[in-house]
Parts: sequence; structure tokens; C-alpha cells
Amino acid sequence: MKHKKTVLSILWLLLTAWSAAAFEPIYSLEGYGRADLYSGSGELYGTAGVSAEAGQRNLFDRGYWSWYAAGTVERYLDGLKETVDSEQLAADLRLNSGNYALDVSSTLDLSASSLQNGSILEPGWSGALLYLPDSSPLFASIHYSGYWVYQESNDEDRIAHDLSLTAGRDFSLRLGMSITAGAAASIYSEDYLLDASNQETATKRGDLRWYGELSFEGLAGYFTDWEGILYGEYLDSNANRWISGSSSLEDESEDSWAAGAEWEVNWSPSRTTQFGIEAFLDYRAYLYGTALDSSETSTGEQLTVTKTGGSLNASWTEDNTIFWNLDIAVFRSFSRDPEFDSWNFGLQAGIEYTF
Amino acid sequence: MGNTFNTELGIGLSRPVPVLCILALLYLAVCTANVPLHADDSVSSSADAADIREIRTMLEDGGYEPADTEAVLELVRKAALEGIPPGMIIRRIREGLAKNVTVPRLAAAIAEDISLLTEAREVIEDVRGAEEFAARLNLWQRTANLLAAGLDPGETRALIEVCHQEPEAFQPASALYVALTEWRLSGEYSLQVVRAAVSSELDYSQYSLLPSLFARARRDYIAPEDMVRRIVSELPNVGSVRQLESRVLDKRR
Repeated sequence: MKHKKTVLSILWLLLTAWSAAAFEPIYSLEGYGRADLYSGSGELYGTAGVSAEAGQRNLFDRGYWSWYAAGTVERYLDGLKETVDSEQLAADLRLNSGNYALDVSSTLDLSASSLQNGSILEPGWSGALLYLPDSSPLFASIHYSGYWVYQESNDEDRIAHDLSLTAGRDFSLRLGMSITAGAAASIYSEDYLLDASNQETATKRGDLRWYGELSFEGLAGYFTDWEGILYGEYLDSNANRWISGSSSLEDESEDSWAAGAEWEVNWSPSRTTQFGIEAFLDYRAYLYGTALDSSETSTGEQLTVTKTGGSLNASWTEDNTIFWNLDIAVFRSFSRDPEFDSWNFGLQAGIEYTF
Repeated sequence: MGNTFNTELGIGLSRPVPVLCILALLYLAVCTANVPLHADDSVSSSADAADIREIRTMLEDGGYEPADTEAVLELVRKAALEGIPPGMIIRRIREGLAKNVTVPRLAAAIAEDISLLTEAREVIEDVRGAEEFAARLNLWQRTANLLAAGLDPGETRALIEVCHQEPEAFQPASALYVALTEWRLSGEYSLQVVRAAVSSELDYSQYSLLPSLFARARRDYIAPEDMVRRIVSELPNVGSVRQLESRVLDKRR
């Protein structure tokens, strides 16, 4: 009897979702060119790409479901002369019941040929229970997500699970804040720990990441919204690494703590124009990992990496069909270890057709 | 007029007059104590008269010459006789004094205000059942402000028609309309959003959040007109913009 009820409930849900009223799907095609300047070689790399996106939202009385698909093919014109691709499929479902909502989503990331990892297969899944009362400025959620990734040319295949709790408050109509605490565990299926003679042991790498976030979001004017995030995390990993220069093993080399901030502002002064600015700062200090010199020998000094960067994007359209897009991004990483001391600059311009 | 009165009294006392005449004048003054001594008090209501007195005091305290003060008051009195309460003009005078503008500039600004308020009243009178908009000074003033902001009388009339059953919605609804049209959404589509908002259960204060949905939709390549259709179809089903957002916007990619 119980199973019958469950089956009937699922059937009802599927029928309801299937008969949902759909907003018009959105399709877009973009052709773009990108120039990247890297500190390593000091050379300018050109890339040409095409991308396509499609998505649709379908509403029913107590929620919605939506689907999304995207694909990109890029050709590296200089030096590398490689063609890479990436695809993504996603579906979301939301069910509302009074002050509560349930979100379920799944994603599938694919690549037949990526720049460093060969082919990639990465299914992902997530679920969240949200408390969103209209009569109160408070809200809360519990969120679970996971993914499994297969990478053809890399030994970082892994499965990961992430569980987090969020509580927040809208201070006013134009300012909200939330605080999140969570933990994420990753089990690597091909990454084995090394022994003192640089041989793989039977122990697989496992990471446990504890993190906290403080997020603010708000509106500054009718058509300007912003978001800021402060975060901190502690990574507890059993991973170790072989230091080739000194032929020594460094235990717990990935254990680290990090803190950082992200900030984003988007402004649309008119229906034709959109600007976005993003900036970030991330500081990571390794507890046991040391900085290496250019001959890959440990300096004995603690490895710290500070990353900062930002981007500016602009988009213009006259008819909501053809969009002219421009993205500029800069990135800088500071570290005693020359491998982590780098910068790059990128400029991308594209034209997008939506229908 | 107050200055004129004082001047007349001054002239009178400068001449050698018999004691009897002075007594007679005093008697007349006592007898006419209830008769308005200033032309300020000749306007339609005691509230208007009080406002005009306040304006006079403001102008005098602001250092305006008596003749200039009279010129400004004459405008105000004329407006009062045409049914425009002086209280609606005080703010402009206060602003002029704060900026220390010249009398011609202040007079021109007041004349412009009077013209807009007159036009606003005509627009309100064109809408059947919207008498409250002319009776409530804040709604009347808001109507004039919309005309001053560049809305044509037809748009303003349409906004009053949308809000005339719910006058409290007029200020936020018209602000929403102005924001959307300034963002270059057409008046027709902007009015659809306003109409849907006023008909919905949304708190008035939430109207100001609706434009942000268009900015977010812009990032997701949802055409503004499509967004209007989404909002119009979903507003009846939600109680807040937060709920509306989750239904009409695609998840950010």
C-alpha cells in the first residue's frame, strides 16, 4: 500500500511537471575570439571559438522545472594548435509547499577533448531543502551536492560530496546577508599516496574541506545589483608529494587554510547595455607544504599563494537578437614558489545571436 | 501688504494731526479688528492664508526686497484663487531661498509649478472616479511631478486609471513606470507591469524591486518583452518579488 502511494505520488508529480506551462525556450549562438597573454612564455595566444546555449523554464502550480544545454568548441590558433570542446546538460526541479521548497538538480559536464585532461565525464547532482517564509526576513537551507569526475589524461578522478547549512536574513528590501557552514569530502580513485622511495602505495588520496562563507547581496538603484562573499576554509588531506630536486617526500603537502573575498557588481543602465565587474582575492597557506625553487628543491619556507584578479564584461544589443560582448580579465598570483608566481591577461570579443 | 500697511501708518504719524483725529483712528482700528488687514487673508481658506503668511515670512527672512516679495506673493495669490493651495508652492520657494536664486528665476519656477499643477488637475479630471487624486495634495503633486519628469498626459492618465481604485499605490507604481521607461522599456509594456503589480498581492514597497528582475533577465538573454509576459502571468500567483524571481528567472548559468 505504501509503495502504491509512493508510485502514485511520483506519477502525479511527473504528470504535473509534464503538463507545466512553459516559457519560451531561449537559444543562443556565439562566435568569439580571445587573446591571452601569459607570464610563463610572455607570448600572446589567440583562440577562436563558437558556443551554443539553450534553456527553458516550465512552471506548474507548486514549482517549476527547467532544462539547460550548452556546448563550446575552441581552436587554439597559436602554438598549441589544438581544438577543445566542452558540453553541459542540466535539469532543475523545484517544489514549493508553504514556507518550504525542495530543489533537486542534476548536471552532466562532458568533453571529448580538453586542453590538459583529454576526455572528461562529470555528472553532478544536488538537493536542497529551503525555508523561505514570506512573512519573515529570515531564511535557511540545507544543501547537499555531489559529483563524480573522470579525466582521461589525469589521475585526479574522484567522487565528491558537499553538505552545507545556510541561514540568512534580509535586512531590508535591498540588502540581504547569509552565513554558510559546510564540509566537503573527496575520494580520489586513481591518486595514490607515495612512499619514501616515490612508489605508489595502496592508500588513495582523500580530502576533507571545512568551510564557512559570509555573503551579502543587495541592490544599488533599480538596475544595479551586487554581491560580496567573504570565506574561509581548512583543507585536511592525506595527499603527499615527491620533491624531485631533493628526492624527498613531503607529507600532508596539501593541508592548508585559505581565506578570501569575492565581489561582483552588475549594472544595466538601459535595456541595450549591460556591464559587469568581478574581483577576487584568495590567500592560501600550506601547513606543511614548502615553497620550491626553480630547480624544484624545497626552500624550507612555508608555501603561501596569494591570488587576485578581476574581470570586466560589457554587452550591447539594439534588438535583443544580436549581442556584442566584450570581456577583459586579469589575474595575478604571488608566491615564493616560482611555479605559483604568475600572471595573465585575457581579452575576449564576441557576437551572439539569440532566438 | 504688511509692508504697505506699515508704510501708510508711518506716513500718517509723520504729519501734525489733531488729537481727535488720532482718537478717531484708534476707534476705527478697534472696530475693524476682525477685518483682514492683509490681502494675504483674502484667499479662499484660512489654511491658504496661513501658508501665504508663512511664504511672506520666508521671503522677508530670506532678504528679498518688499517689491520682490510682493511680486512672488501675487503669483501665489493668483494660484490660490484658481484653486491651487499655496502650500503646494511653499517647497519651491524654500528651495529657491536655499539656493539664493534671483526673483525672476524664482517667479519663473513658481509659474512653471502652477502650470504643471493646473495641467495635472486637468489630467486627473479626465479620469472618471479619480476625484481623490485632486483632493489629496500628495497625489495631485505626484501627478504634476510626473508631468514635470517628461511623462505625457496620456501616460499619466493611464497610470491614474491603473491606480484610481488604490491611490496608495500611485507613488510606487508611477516610480516603477518611470524606472522601466527610463530603462527604455516601452510605455505600453511598462504599463502592463505596473497594472500587474497593482492588481497583485505585492506590498507597495516591493514594486521598487521589480526593475532588478529585468536587469537579471538581461544577463540571461531573456528579452524584456518576454520578461513582461512572464511577470504578468506569474504575479497573480506570488506574494513577494523573491517568489516571483524564482519562478520567472532562469537559474543563473
